[in-house]
Amino acid sequence: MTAPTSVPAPVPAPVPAPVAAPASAPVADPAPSAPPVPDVGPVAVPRLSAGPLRVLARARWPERPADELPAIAGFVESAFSPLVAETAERCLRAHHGPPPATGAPRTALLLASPSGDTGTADALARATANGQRVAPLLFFQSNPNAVLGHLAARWQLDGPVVALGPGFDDERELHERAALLIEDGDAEQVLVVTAVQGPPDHATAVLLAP
Amino acid sequence: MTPTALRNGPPRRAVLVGGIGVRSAFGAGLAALTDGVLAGRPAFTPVERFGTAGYRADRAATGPGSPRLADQLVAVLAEAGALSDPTEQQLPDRREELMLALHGDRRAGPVAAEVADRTGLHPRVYTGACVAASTAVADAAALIATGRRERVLVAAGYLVEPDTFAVFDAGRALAQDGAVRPFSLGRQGMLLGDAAVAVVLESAAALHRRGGRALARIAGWARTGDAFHVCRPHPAGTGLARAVHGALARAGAAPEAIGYVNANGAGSKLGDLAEAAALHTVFPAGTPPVSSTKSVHGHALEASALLELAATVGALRAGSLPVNAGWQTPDPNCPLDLVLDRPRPAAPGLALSINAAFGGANTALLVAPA
Repeated sequence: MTAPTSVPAPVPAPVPAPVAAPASAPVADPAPSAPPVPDVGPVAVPRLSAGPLRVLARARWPERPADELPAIAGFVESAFSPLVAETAERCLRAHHGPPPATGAPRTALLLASPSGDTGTADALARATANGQRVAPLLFFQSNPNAVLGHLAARWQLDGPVVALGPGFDDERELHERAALLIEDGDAEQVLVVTAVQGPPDHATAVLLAP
Repeated sequence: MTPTALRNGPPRRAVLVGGIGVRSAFGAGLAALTDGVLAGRPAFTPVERFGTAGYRADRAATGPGSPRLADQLVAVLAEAGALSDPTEQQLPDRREELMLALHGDRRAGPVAAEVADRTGLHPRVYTGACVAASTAVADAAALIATGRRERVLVAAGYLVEPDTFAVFDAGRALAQDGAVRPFSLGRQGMLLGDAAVAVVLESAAALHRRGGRALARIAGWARTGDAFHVCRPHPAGTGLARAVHGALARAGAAPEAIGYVNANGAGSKLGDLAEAAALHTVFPAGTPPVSSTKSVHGHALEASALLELAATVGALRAGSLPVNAGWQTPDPNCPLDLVLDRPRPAAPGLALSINAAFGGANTALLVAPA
């Protein structure tokens, strides 16, 4: 699913110039001599896991009474995306300083939220139940990937973008999923964010590495 | 975690598809889905499940009536063989894990809880939009390839309903002309479609022990991000191309080994352009045959990647590549070898199923014949 061209898409501010490889850059060396269907026997030496992941930085929201969530351009009606973004920002700033995280190891963004963006869901349900026009911006924030895209662009983090819901009920299970992304080779670090929209809203973020 | 994981290399153990259950607008079962996509007959009809007056679009690919998602998920899990006792329980003291891709709102919890109650499984829900199910498949494949699990169950479900229809219509994402036309000039967008799909992934040893036969093999997988925008894909498709190369690296294969691409191809202007750019990066001398089966079964959101994986397995087993329906006119910015007019005989090789989502999320799955 990608944005149509005819509706102004939200643009997180600021969005730094992407540093991902341009189209002309080689993504990988082709191996023309490789067999069409590979032998799936033991062909590589396993890389050993170094055990539990290290915590590079932590953050939470709220941190104090009357803690406030900054708004994000293009996100409306619901505090869910600001909650995720602010908590992630605090964690990433603690480790990287201000964005972008230029030169950071490939970092996955993993968001776990058992009930998702209830503010957006409620706004949408109200509009459809009352026969009202649905705000177009709700389309963009109608799934949890959107705020992860905001974070990925702002911080220039191009690892996997993963959103999880019910069933990942404790920190250990989330760390296992993070470790799987790292050991599987798609990420070198993982930012794990948990977010629950209340009241009261609360969220945590932790940056993990082997 | 066991200290035996590979990083981005060929899997130590084969990841086999031991069973598939499907409900789609084409009916029940993998055979119905395969017949539907190979017939190239779009399943879009005016929505009767709820009123669409006042919306820009009025069509979707739905089955009859208003089925309950939990009922459909239990049915496809049974059809896939997921509810039979595995010969060897990997977690004898715990319920077997089910990776379940659902739309990430309040309804996911109750659906997952009902599936758990009726099946005895432990759902863990993936909500990452159009890559939710393929991310779950990648995680499942990694668990099997590294020896942590003997089998992993993956399921996904989305049934067209008023709230998502309304918000996609408001976002002008739906095709007003009632057709999905991937990679064609004049494409207007996507149309939604029903899907409930379950896939049993297992090791060769597990499959052998229960006397099963593999339908296909997951030869490679990868998940990447664009780091570009909230909802727009990187125009050069860099993240998607990196996902394909990652999956190829895992499969120990070169791009030339790919004989078919089941494209994300939602029919959106920007998304199709980015995907075509990604495929051009991977296949600079020209692509293998490409089609988007969303053109006939619609976009099943969180379930789309599993529905397309099932369609890809069905096509490989039939030896025939489905058409890219709805196509009208060449788009010079989408220089792909599209399968048009009629199905094409499948050449030997791997099939690539790619998906992209909001947030710049990309996945690639490589499927080998069994």
